[in-house]
Amino acid sequence: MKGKLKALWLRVSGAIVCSISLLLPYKPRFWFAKLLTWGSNPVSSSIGMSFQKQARFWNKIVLAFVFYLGFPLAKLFLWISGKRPLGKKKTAETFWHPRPTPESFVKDLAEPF
Amino acid sequence: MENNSVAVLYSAGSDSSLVAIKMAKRFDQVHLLTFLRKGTHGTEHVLAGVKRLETHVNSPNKFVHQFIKTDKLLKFVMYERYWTHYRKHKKMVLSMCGQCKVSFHWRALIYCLENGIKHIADGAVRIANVYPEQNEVIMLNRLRQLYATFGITYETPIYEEGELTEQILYELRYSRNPKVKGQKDDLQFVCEQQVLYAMFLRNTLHKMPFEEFEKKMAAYYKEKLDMVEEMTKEYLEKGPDSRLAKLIEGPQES
Repeated sequence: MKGKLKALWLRVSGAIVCSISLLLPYKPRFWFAKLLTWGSNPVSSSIGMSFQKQARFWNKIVLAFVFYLGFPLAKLFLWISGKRPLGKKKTAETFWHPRPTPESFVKDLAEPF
Repeated sequence: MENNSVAVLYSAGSDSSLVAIKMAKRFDQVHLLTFLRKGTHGTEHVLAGVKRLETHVNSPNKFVHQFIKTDKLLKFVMYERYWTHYRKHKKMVLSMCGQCKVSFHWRALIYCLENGIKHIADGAVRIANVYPEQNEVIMLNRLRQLYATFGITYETPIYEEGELTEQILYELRYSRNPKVKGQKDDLQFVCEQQVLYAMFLRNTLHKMPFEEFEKKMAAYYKEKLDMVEEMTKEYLEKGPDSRLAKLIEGPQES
């Protein structure tokens, strides 16, 4: 199934790109190619031959996403989905019972010593 | 007029570098031609490659390197009789890499004619025969005829050595690594528009067997190279008044 889907995607994407580039004059066709090259994933595909430049570009995008936006975005998405509201966390139940503090323990004694 | 010279279509990649080294052993002077157009990258790598070649053969005057612009020629090759060709050859008009190489070979032919060079070579290899300019059926045979019409011998000296190129360069002590292609040491001049040819292959190859693809491409490129031959003859007769004269951009010596 996965193989068939991939084959279908290759055909459809090829057909779309060819149909667009068929109608483009010289310079716009080059800009279109530039766009496709920068958009293609350098990990799974090496069809963009400015490969190293492209890989560096994607590295920056991934690093920026993970290190600078990862935490705030995770918080935001969780807040939107309602799974973890912002604010005080609800903690797990415990079997701990509060005991009287030392001050309340000694206050009724007239002479503690 | 130069007698013992050869022109090499040079991109600083492994294949064309090996061809340049082989030609340097046979000829007194090797003209390395690198073609520039919109969307190509890596001129600094090409210059580094030329220096490395000079060091390797230990002869600073062996190589003459030229950058030559081919935008006007490529635009002409891509769009002349565009819709007529589309009706006849369908999506073959989108085989960008082949059209680009037609413009390179056309400009190289003119360079050879202008400089009295009787030999030309490039790094075509059989394993890359999905590219028209490296396929015997699609373009190579017709290219040989085209050059021969103008008294030039076109050679593809490493055609059967495609898989061994990097290893040979390593054994020659030209490169420090037996695997260079696609690595950080690769000096190959690159082009962003290759993505369009990859998409063209996606769209074309699944519809037909490779032999049929070759046949269709050969019919399209025969017409293109016939046009190249006709216009080059006209250029030699009429000179600056010819159609081709307006499309030729001069070389820039590096």
